[in-house]
Amino acid sequence: MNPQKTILIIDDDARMRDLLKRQLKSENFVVWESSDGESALRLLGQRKKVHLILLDILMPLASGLDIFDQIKKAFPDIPIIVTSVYSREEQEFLVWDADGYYYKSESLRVLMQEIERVFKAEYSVSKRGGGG
Amino acid sequence: MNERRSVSRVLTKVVANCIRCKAGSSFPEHFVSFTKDISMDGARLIMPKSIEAGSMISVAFELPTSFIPVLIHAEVIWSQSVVVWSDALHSFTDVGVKFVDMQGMDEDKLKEFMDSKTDQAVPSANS
Repeated sequence: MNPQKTILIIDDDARMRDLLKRQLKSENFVVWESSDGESALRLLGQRKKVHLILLDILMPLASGLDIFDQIKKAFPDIPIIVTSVYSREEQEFLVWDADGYYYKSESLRVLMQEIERVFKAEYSVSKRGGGG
Repeated sequence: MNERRSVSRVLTKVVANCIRCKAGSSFPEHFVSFTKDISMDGARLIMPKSIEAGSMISVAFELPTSFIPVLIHAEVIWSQSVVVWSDALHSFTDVGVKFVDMQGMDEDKLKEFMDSKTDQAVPSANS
């Protein structure tokens, strides 16, 4: 059903990445992954098309909150769903300009609904913008 | 005092879990906040709720260089409420805290973090 959209997972937890990757691939997404923000920024810098980012905000090497700001500044068109062990309300406070939120204790079905919601919102914005 | 204020600040946004024991309550209150900047002496925090100057809080910083949060006891030096209008209305409290008690291990972890951020260091806001 999905026209092969690409999702970048940025998470230091290999098991979490693997879990998300399997779920997303089963939904026909192309999946890229990074274990930290620095490598994710390098990957995004390669100018390959990424349609959505799943970003863990608690990571080693660099603060996920800083990485969020850097990605938003450098790639403002890529929606970001923030993921963490913090509640949705807490995440909304920490990163109020994220496009979506996923509390890691929730089921993956909730994440898939959030991804769908973000893509629908993006589609409606691009349609309203009439860019093309 | 001047020596303390000369320490560089690092402009970085990290999660800071705050614990406050309110007078008259036997239950500590927990809330999540984040830093605008941090130094070895103190930090500027953005909090979701108001807090009075003079309040004592414990702050557990989620530093990316440390697997375990760095716990520091701090005093609120100043506090001001801020309202931001973007696509929604956001109100929060901008807070300056001074670190008053830090265990050696936590101090080492904070220093390690500060050393890793020399590229984002700025002089103290002291005039």
